[in-house]
Amino acid sequence: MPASGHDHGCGHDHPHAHHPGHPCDHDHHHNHEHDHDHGHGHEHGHVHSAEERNAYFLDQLSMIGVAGTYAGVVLAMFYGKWAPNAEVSVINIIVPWIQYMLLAGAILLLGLALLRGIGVWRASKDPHFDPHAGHDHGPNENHAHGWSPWKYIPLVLPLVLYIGLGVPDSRMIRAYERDLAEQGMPRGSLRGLGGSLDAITQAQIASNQFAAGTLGNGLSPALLQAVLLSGGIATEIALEEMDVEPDARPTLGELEVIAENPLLHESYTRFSRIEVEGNFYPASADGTFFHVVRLRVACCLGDARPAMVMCTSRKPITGIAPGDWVAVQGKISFVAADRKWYPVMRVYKVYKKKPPAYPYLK
Amino acid sequence: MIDVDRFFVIFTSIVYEALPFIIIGALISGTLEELLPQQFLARVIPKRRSLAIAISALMGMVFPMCECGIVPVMRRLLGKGLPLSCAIAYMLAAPIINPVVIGSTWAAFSGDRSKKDGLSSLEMVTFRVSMGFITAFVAASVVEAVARRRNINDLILIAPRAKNPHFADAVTKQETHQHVHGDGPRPHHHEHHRAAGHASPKHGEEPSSLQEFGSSSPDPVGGVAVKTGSATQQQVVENTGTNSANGPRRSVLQRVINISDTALHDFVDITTFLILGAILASLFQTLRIIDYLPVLEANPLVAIPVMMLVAVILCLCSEADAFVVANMIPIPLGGKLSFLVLGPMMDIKLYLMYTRVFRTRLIWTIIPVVVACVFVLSIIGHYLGPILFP
Repeated sequence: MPASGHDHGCGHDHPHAHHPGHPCDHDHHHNHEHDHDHGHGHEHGHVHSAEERNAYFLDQLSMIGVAGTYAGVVLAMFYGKWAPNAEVSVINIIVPWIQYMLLAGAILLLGLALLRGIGVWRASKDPHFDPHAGHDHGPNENHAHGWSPWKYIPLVLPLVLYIGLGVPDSRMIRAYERDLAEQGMPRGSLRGLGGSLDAITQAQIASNQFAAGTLGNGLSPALLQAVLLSGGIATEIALEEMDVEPDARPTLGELEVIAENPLLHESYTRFSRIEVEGNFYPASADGTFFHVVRLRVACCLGDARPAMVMCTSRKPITGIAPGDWVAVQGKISFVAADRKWYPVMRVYKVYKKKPPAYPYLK
Repeated sequence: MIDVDRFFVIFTSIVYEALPFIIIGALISGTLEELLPQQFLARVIPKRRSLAIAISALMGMVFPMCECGIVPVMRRLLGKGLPLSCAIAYMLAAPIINPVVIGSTWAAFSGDRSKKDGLSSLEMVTFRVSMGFITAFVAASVVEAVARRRNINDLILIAPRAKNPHFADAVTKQETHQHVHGDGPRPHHHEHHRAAGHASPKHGEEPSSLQEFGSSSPDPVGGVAVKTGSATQQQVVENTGTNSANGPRRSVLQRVINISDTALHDFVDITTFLILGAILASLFQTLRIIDYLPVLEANPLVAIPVMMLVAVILCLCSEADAFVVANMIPIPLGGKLSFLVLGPMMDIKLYLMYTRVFRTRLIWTIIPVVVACVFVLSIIGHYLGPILFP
């Protein structure tokens, strides 16, 4: 029905009559009626060849295809989120509220693709269909309704990555998490702790000496406090063997916030046992020194930064792989280094745990 | 050495994070195109241009948009008669001056990170918003001055309209209607068209074969103003043409199909450039530029330009950048402010997206003004902050 009956009045300047660079030297004031023009010779200047028409439809179909595939990929990512036993859900590369925006966006996109499909289908039924109709061309255009494949190369790149190569996958995301965590570890930067040894080495020595019951001098008091908290070794062992509920379960983000304000340290140092959770990353070969890390993400993994606690354990931690999700119980204290406060924990207990559905913090 | 895992994770997270905002932007764009009469905005904005620019810069509080979503919307608004300078003011300011970003900036600098540079979170927000407003206002005023002297076609690429034949049908019917009451400078109109058409090679300075767009107003009067070689933005504004939206009734399905046409077109168009920008941004992020930044301690005259450069190459979104910079404790206040104000206005991905709306000449008018403005304001902010908020 549509488009066929162009029963315009006289002297009509049909928008598609103006194509710069088009060989249209004819008088624009002709009585423009599609129904007639198409029959004979089409003096209307721009004869749309079958190829041009096909190119237009190819372009439209490519657009519909790309939009529909994006919607499909997003839905597949959500399937990965909701499917049982998903270890690291790929959709978690973005924060939950944007995930739901993306889901809504994908559904809208699917709707747009369907509607465009209807539009193209209706146009294809129309023998008088003219791809140039409805918009004319300003002087700036070098315009062909051609189908230029290279235009779609960037567009299909994320789709090819996801569908063809399975990128990003959970292995990749874990590698990235670990990478960020290691970058964020204050390796060698704890200058405030004194000496030429870096923090890990110091803690390592302290930890070994603690285990051997021979804590020496020459290490910074703050770190020693972190390693050896109160009482003698008997008390420590007793604390390790106790099976009690922790006094508090702060997130590593909260601990990071508390750490930066010395006046608030008391709010957690007063507890004899708190529990934190996050990814486990060993920092010493014997398993007595490690970090528990959680990424803080504002919008997407591109802006992630780690929040962490340095942990020392009297007994070596075994059976936990780097990157595993753990809960750690122990006594927290804070050490100052390089204009920054770091939370450190004397560990009583470490156990593996199922990571939360969305593992990052705000 | 490029870490492939890191690159792909950052690249995909940037793309999928921006995607919903581009879809929303494209939908708003399509809806505006279909429902708002041509040149509608030209009639409703205040007559005093400086007032109009100031209001445009604050419109983000009412119509919040982030920097990715704003690009397709803005080029439709240009087509609906929003003066170029007002569109620039809205585009530059809205990603900073909107409730979401104000909230995230406040959150990022609250708690422990408050007062790290002597400013509380509220004071930080105040600085960011006022610097963003001033920069947008200055840049828009410069654009206004340029637009008065130049052919608008040297500055912008108007968005394409629906290619849909049914849409054309509706428009042409309406135009027929006009003909009945026809007065009009129609022959004149044609002359302009032809002249403009012949002049086209001169305008082809954009090195892109993607440039399939030009002016496409269905409105003969407004359309002439946009298209003619001699037309200025002023003329565009003064022309209050007829509009397609108030034309003969189209079925809801037809309207929705038209919206889908424009929206899908904008989606494909803008996403292409988002992806190109995301590739560059993730390459730079993979090079771990942030790790080298603590070198910048203390000297604001070094830190400000470096942080501006970092903002341009990291392409963080304006909701996230405050969290990133708030954790860079050693960076002096001026450096943080320059990062927070420039980032939402100018970065690699935005540059590529801007090329879909503006001509190179206009983009390179805006960039030096914005950069100079942010630099000066950051220095002022750096030294004024501790005095103003002791």
